[in-house]
Amino acid sequence: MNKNSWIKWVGLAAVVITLFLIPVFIKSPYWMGVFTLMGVYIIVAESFRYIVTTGEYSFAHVPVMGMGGYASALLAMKLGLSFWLALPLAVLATAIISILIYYPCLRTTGTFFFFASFAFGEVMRLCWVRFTNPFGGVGGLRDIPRPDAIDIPGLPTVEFTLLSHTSYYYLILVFMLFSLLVMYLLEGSRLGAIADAIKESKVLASFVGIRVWRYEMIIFVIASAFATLGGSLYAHYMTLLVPNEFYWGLGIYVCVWAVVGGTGHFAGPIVGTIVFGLIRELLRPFPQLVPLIYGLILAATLAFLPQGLISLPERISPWIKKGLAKIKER
Amino acid sequence: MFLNGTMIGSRLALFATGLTLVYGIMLIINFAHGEFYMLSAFAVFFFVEKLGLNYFVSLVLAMIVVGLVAIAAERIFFKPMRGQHIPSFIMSCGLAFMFQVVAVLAFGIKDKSIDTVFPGVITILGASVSVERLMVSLISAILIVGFYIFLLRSRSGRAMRAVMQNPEAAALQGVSINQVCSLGMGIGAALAAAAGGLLAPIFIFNPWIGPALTWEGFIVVCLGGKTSLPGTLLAAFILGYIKSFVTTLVDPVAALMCGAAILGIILTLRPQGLLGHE
Repeated sequence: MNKNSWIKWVGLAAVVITLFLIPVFIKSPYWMGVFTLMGVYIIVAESFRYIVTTGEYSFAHVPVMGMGGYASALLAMKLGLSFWLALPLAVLATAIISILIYYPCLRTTGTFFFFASFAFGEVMRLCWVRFTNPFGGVGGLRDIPRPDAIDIPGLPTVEFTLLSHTSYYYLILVFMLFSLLVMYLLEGSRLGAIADAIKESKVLASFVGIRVWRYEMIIFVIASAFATLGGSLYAHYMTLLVPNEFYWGLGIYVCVWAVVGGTGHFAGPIVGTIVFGLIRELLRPFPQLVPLIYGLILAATLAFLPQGLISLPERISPWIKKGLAKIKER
Repeated sequence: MFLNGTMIGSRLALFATGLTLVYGIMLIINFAHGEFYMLSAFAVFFFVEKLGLNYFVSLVLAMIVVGLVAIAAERIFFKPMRGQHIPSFIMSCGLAFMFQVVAVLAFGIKDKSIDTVFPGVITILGASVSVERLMVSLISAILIVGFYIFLLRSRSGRAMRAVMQNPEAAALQGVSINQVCSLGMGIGAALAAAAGGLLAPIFIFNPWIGPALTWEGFIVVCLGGKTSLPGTLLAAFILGYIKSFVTTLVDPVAALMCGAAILGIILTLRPQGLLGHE
């Protein structure tokens, strides 16, 4: 193992350990809530980027996330299932729904894929508004049950009530690390190479024997499954689901986090989500200024760092080297 | 109901013409287009209520101001983004955020409205019709016809059409792409501003009305065939009537659903739109 990758692994381990230790140092429930939601958004933004690896930008991603939330909330509320059973069932159900959404969209590419996916996602979202019976209309679903306590004999019971902020943080942290790991491994696998080929050119990819349609579908369904996971965790964390949460507002934000962070790199969306999330929290006293700052950062990033914030160290390092060389000369 | 459809259609036509123009010339997706509509409504509000100017003077002033703002935005933000769809979309989202903040800081978050300019109701063929809606449709029609005459007859209009067909060939013929882009953006925004100013006395407005309208504009543009201006007009009126009828007969949410479904269906079954070509 060369030195470089060794440093990388140690750094990664340090980051993970820090994440697990955060609740020890930060006691405020407010900040725990902030980090918990950030975990959900990282899952969503990263799975959005997983779609982008095929070169398509999907606007149906956030409605799919919402569908996951609705599916698991309805399973838990109407059928009385436990969260631990409702979650996998919701992921399965929404994977099937996402096939229905992306099936027509795949006839289009590029910008028009973007618009078509928006259209189908929006139709789905408006269904939640219109059909009050299962979905609760504009007011949405209330009193979604929190996950049941984990009670393993011999260990202390882990509860997920409204007061147990720390345990929910750990729950989401575990799911987040799991999703990131799976997506990272998938990207390094044959499927990732195929996605790369499709991104470069669909026609060329089909000439070397890649079934473009099938692989795009597989990637979209996997990404949708992770979005669903995020949506389900979100629903049971907030215990409240409103259709307007999954409006194009959040869709644009997810797109912005991923693109400003940098879709070319695996860590890009994570960086984007954290940077924008922290800006929002730090500017909490001036909420009306937040979009302005977002807009300025976004414009500056697109103009000067087309590869996203993640490419900042790369872009700065030649300057730093130059500066160091000058200092040495003196 | 029919007149309502005409009014919604003419608003969409004015609005989406600008969107088509900008897409056709610069190949960018301008998500901030709805903000021009919103800013213009506030500008008219400001001129009429605060400065006490005549409504028509305010309308023209609002169109000029918003057009200049749009040209400035084009110069600063969109110039490096030409031809790149997704980055330009994200950039214009950022721009939309900024415009919204400006409107919030300047005018507050409350819903605003302007007193009606054309009060009264007249009866045509036995149906009672509000003068206001009739006048809005009429003025929109005049503006659109004026814009078409400009596009077909004037030198700048010809340059614009040339750039829409083939930018490189146009540049070889001595058309300044930068000038045409600025002009197109300015005129497009001014048309959106006209829509905003005309509809300000009818609908209430707040700093967040922009994006919803932009999406409707995208539906119209895609339905009409992306770069086809006649297609945009046709699509605007089709969508206007569908919305008006579905809203009255079923409910507003179903109308929104229809719009989104039309967008999805047209893009998957006939990607070139109604009057577009490959």
